[in-house]
Amino acid sequence: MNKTINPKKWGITVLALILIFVIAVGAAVYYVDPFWHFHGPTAGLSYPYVDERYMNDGIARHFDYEAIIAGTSIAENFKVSEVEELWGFTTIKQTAASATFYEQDGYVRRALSHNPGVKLVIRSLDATRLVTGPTDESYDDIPKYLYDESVFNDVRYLYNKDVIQRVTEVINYTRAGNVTKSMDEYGVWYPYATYGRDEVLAGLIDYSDFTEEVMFDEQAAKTLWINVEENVLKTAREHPDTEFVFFIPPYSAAYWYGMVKTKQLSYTIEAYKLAVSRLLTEKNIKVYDFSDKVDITTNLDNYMDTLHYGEWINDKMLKWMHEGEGELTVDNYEAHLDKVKEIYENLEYDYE
Amino acid sequence: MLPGRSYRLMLFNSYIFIFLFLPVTIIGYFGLNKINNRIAKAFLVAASLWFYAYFKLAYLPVIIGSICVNFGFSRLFKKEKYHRKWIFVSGIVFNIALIFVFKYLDFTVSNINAIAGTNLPLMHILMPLGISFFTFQQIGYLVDVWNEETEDHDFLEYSLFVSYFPQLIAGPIVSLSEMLPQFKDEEKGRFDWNNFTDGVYIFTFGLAKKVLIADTLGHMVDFAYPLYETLTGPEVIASAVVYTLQLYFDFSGYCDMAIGLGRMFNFKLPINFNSPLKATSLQEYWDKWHMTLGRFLEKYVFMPIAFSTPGMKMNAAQKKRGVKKPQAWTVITMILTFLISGIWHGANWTFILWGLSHGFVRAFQHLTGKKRKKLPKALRWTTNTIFVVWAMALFRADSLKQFFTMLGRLGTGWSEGIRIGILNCFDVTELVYIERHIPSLFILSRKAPWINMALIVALATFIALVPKNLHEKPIKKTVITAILTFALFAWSLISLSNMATFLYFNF
Repeated sequence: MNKTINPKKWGITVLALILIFVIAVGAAVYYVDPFWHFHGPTAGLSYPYVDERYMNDGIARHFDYEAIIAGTSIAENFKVSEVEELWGFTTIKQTAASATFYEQDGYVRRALSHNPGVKLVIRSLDATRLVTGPTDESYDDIPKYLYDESVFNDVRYLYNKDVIQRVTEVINYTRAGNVTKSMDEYGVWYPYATYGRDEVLAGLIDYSDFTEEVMFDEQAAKTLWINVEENVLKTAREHPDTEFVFFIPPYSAAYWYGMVKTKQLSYTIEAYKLAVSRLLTEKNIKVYDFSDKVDITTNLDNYMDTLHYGEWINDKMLKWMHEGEGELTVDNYEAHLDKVKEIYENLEYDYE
Repeated sequence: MLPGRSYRLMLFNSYIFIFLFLPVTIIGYFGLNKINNRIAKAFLVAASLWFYAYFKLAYLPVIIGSICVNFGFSRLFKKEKYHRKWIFVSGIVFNIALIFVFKYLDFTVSNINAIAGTNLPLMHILMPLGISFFTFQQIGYLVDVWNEETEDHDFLEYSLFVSYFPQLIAGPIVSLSEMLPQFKDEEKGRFDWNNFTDGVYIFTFGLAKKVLIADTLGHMVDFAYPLYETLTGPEVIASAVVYTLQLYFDFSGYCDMAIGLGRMFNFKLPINFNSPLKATSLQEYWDKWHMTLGRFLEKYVFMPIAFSTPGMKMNAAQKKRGVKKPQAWTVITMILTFLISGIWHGANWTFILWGLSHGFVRAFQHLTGKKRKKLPKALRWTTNTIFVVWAMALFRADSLKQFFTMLGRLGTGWSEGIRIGILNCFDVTELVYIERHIPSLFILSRKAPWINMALIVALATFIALVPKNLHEKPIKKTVITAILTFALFAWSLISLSNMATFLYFNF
């Protein structure tokens, strides 16, 4: 082993080993394909779900579907089976926690490019994402190499130690007798959540420093306008046969309490008004708002923190949307949002 | 959808370089050499320009222009009898102006704005890749030609000297006199298994230093530095130590890759790092850290300034009488040289202060050299390393404010230690995988979440301080080194890309 060998022999040995390694690893990743980048699930293998940013495109590429659920964590706990039951459409999720509008639209666009026949897109309208730049992203290292048609950058997927680890996980998961979970379970966080008033109130901060009213000024309006135009309306216009359903979630009363205390209540309502007014310019967009469901929002046991409600609220929202409850129209949205403002401005909070 | 960055790099540690560029260039170069050596050289220049243009096509004219103009200047003042000096000076000014515009213009303008209260517009120019290296290399070239220290060379050889891809973007900074004989030697156009395998071996070790060690350490530094306002004392120290190790493994690894690549093509590039963290003084440190920059600064900055004073030009009689060189001038020159080094490293006051602080401490050690030598070696190493690490923290800082804020936090949070978020940066795939499969290790990693950090930093420190430098030892071609080279290469290859953890903030 320690005997000196001919450099040519040494070189050929090293190059041959590298070649064998490259072929073997590439073939294993291609065959198992833990994120379904090259093909759908391999027959006989069961797949654990990982972060949606790695799996969204694979699902959009290789699954059959007529409807998409998109959005952030407030949409992650939706069950596709409920959509299927209510609307009758086979559904996939394209959610991603904390995604900006740009990113959310990106997933929707990719899915629509893979499957232009999609009839319904349900997507969240997050207050925290309204006024963001048109190409803002929440993270720097989104695996974009999975979201294009270039075969060259697939090397980042094929020769990636974390992906190789996922390959072993798929094999171990299968060997342990597991099956791939239903799409209902994709991206969900409710199994790990703890709900309750104490949990929510623990997230409140000291508001004494917030003394000045935050204005929804021209700059903020312009940013929102561009964000909605680029990351919602353009896609809706390009797909006139697809219905886009947006919903303003029932954030907890503790969230609105925070808005009041940080002097951002008017800002948020004005931002929503502008966003909704823009969304309603397209015929294939519907908008729902559940902020006024005070029976839900004031019961903090429905929540994990100020923003995040339990999955039973997601179930309710799907039913309401299907029934048309809470729908905003050109005629009612201003009065409705003014009512929301009034509710939370005048609510008697007992959070201190 | 989600477009990539507007520019990209073809680093040695990238898939495109390893899978495409390198094999194509090696096969093309040695294949063409069988036909004609000059065509093969031209191919190597073209390949190097492709390597460069991959960064940003628009900057290809910058490097091509720089090569043409410098070569033109050298030809001009070689032939010209009456205005030689002015042509030579113009050549130097051209290079300084080029680097000034691309690297220092915005910095200068923003400082003018700050001082004079003006509102001059910033250009926001993206700096061409490697401009600091190829500009310095060409300034050295002009001086060498002026001093008639170069052999005859043509435009093709000169172009290859400047653009040769292994040393193009991060050094080593080479001189024409050390590369030209190699370029002229047509024997080097023949594929040589011995050199090639030496190259593969050195390249692989460099790749592993960069990818497996430096990048792992870099995650922690990138995570910690933006939190500078809330860092605790232990976190500040850990960040500075880890950054020192990161930069050493990153830069020396990259230079090893460059040397290995050079060797694959039968060209020998000078070594650039020789275990600098073992140094017990700054003189020794700079003799071992970025050696070709030190060599450049000594030859083209320090010596010309130092010997430009009458006091330094001593005749034999003076030397015999024991006339001492004026210490003050030596010290001033030393500080000035380090200041220039600082400015060269980047357009930021942090680099200027870094250069100056190195200059002052180097001068101090120079003045107290004899007394210092009497101190125990361990004490000299410790004091020197504390300064080096301190200066590294400054080197890494985005601004003086960040650095001084961090310094100000040194006395805080000693009971809190290092936060979990920073410790988690060391949860590399391999360690986590092992810990998950060995229950006792898993329990240990939960009880002592700092264990991965301690392991990785201890390993990096050991490698930096204990074994002999890669270039000190002869490369043995044995079955063991073949397997080791393959294993390191394979491990590095699959570590070029990883999966991000998207921490859920704000959901």
